[in-house]
Amino acid sequence: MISYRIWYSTEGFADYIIDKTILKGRKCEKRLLFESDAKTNHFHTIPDHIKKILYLDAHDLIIEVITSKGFEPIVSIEESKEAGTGHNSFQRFARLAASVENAVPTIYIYPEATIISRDSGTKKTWDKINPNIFRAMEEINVTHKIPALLFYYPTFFKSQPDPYKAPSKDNGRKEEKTIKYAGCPDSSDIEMKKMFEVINKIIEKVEKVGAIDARDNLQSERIIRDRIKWMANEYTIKKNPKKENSPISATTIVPSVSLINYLKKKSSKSIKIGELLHSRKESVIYQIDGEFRGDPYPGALAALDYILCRYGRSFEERDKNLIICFGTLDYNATKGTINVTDNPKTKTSTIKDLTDKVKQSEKRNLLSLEFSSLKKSQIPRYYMQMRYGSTFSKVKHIRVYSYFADAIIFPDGVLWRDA
Amino acid sequence: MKEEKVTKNILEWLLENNWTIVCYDFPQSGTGVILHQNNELHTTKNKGSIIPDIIAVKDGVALFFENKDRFYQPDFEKLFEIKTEQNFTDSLNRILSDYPIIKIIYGIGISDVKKEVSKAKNHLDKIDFLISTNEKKEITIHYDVNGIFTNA
Repeated sequence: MISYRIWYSTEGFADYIIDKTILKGRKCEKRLLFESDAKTNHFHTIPDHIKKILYLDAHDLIIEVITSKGFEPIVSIEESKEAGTGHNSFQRFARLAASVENAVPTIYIYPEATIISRDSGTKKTWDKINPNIFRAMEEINVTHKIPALLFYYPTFFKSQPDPYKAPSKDNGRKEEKTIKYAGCPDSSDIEMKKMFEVINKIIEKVEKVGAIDARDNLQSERIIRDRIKWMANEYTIKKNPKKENSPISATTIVPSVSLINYLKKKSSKSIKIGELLHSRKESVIYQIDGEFRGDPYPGALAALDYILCRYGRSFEERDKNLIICFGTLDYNATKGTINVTDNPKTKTSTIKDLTDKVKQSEKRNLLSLEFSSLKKSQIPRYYMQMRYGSTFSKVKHIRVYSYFADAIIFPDGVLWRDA
Repeated sequence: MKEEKVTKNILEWLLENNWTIVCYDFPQSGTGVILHQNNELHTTKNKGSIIPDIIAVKDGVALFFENKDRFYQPDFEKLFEIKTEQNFTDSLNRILSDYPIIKIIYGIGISDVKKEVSKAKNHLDKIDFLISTNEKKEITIHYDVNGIFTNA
């Protein structure tokens, strides 16, 4: 007997996906998805195979199938209402990558454009999606051969391109009217109908050939191939041929020898930097010209990995090092030198802000406690941490930066991995 | 009962009673509207800003809700501050500009758990109304200093 478990962050969205797809006719059980051990004391109750998908960031929804053979996640879904300009549309990218890296197809719902009011509402624009999100998703499709598909959150953008004439409620988005689905995208919109068809196709295929065979062969399904082609087409149409969009526009490619010299300069000239950074001739430096912070940069860093560095399924399979830089990067191509300074317009970029965040995360660590001082309810959490250490207990951006970046550089300090 | 359900139950009840919903929010919904402090208090982007859980209007009255699945004292303090210090009037006036509003009243919606409601009742001096709701979607008005719901 096949049944389904729906892991959710908002119950209304779980109801929406169940009611609008063939899951409505299946046996389904809803479960709340706890984000991470950094935020709740319940994360240890999440099954191990779901934890693995959440190792970078929590999803909005995960559907898993339950059969006599066990549990298998079959698709994850992210839904965003944000304006997709600049780095914003990449905010959830690390989640998409984590899902696909674990062979779970992923769906991203994002508005093509959102009405943004500026100057106390006197100026309005449709802020459009950054087309590089399509390029990044194509890269994860190609790299992992597991579908990563984008559907537009329904909006009035196409029907009313003038932001002053478009309905401004919900920033121009079309949302469900019933309270049960409050905040969910309008299910009568063609984009959502297409998404439901894809979810139905995944479920049908899972029921026909099993979860593992289904996800390995989904890319050959016509409905999914068509969506991937549509995404490639959207990228071509929306891309500005004269100007690169972020986050690619915020990168500089330097010889790895220049990077290594900077790491030595900021640590010790005598230190031996490990083989990993030496093994790649070039390094991509992603410059955050300001103080250390999280969103939307962790997702953008993950996207840059796939767009500029990655050639294989593991993050070790890169042809360029991926570096994140907090501060103003100055690369002198003639001398082959790198310098990083504070941007005078922003707050100081200091590695202390990063290490303070790491230290804060350690407060969630139970491993330094005596067994006798553990509350009984803390025992399973302690045991999870015994196995995983602080893997799930650090805040999201620390997890993502340390996973994707081969080095993190500041004006006053550096971190790197040797292998 | 989670905050999402508390807010949805109250939204349904308000609609049944002919209130117009201006905005709403619950955790992870992404639906909320950010209200900034008045210009003179507004320092960095979104610092000190708030996202009301529900704003609803009817007959010249605007309701401002903070909702939780339990008693949460900082919400009471927050509402008291907004009400007495009037430090969000610019944003509130803007979001309510389409409605003729005479009065804004501030209150709490919580899950109908006896212990939590009881704790909340010790802080009624900071708010204008206290409402609870349960899994059956029943609504209980525990406190309504202006008689907004009881006289409607």
